[in-house]
Amino acid sequence: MTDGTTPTISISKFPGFWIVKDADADETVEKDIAAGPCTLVAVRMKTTGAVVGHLKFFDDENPVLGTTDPIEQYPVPQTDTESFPVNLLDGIKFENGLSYACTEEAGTAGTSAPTVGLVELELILIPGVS
Amino acid sequence: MTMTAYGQLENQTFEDTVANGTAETILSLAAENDTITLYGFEADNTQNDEAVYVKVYFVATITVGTSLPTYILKVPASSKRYLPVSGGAGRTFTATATPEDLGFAVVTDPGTGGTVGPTNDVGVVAKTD
Repeated sequence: MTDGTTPTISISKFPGFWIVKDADADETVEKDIAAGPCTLVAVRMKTTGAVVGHLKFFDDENPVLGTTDPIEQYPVPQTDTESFPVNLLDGIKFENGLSYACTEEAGTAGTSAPTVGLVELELILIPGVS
Repeated sequence: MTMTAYGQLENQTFEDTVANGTAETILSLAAENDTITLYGFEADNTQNDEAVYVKVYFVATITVGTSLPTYILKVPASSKRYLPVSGGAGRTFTATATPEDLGFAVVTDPGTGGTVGPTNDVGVVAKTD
């Protein structure tokens, strides 16, 4: 895992699944957090301000923010919390590595930090090939 | 036995059994500050042996491949995808321009770009208030 600035990520590694907590998901790409393939099962996003932002996931161990296409993207809630399973059936598999970032802009382009407050993020994933 | 009549969360169900690279409008909000709550999506990609991407837009005019998608949802090859938005609590979108359309398209490329639909059509169901 690579974090370009101050580490904000904590990971609880259970035998069968991991819980990833990021106290400040932002435009710094958190790369290959499972150190290989994994399945993303659930997401929780929490903001305490009128944040405008988009959470982007890349199936790439070393994506370039603003250039690499996200395979998944969700708008962050404004002054609210959203928790959801990403797919009730099987989760979403990341074959090359799960990386993510949170930017103000939607889509592929855009490298700006989310506006206003912090985006707290929790992920539940299953490491390895499943 | 007495049947109990329960209420229904959503008011509208939008179903497209032939979704592809052509943008479909779920609802057009005519006035600024009009709102729509989106409860969830189902996507059926069982007829294709390649992954597709459901791109959900909330913009004035949807141009597939150019408009910035609000959601990008990967649906793996030969499978279905069930996504309860906000865990089923729904997400309310408020129009900041008029009109503003909530809609979607299904293409084979992730990210913003990509206008090519899948080889076979994909089924999409969305529920809104």
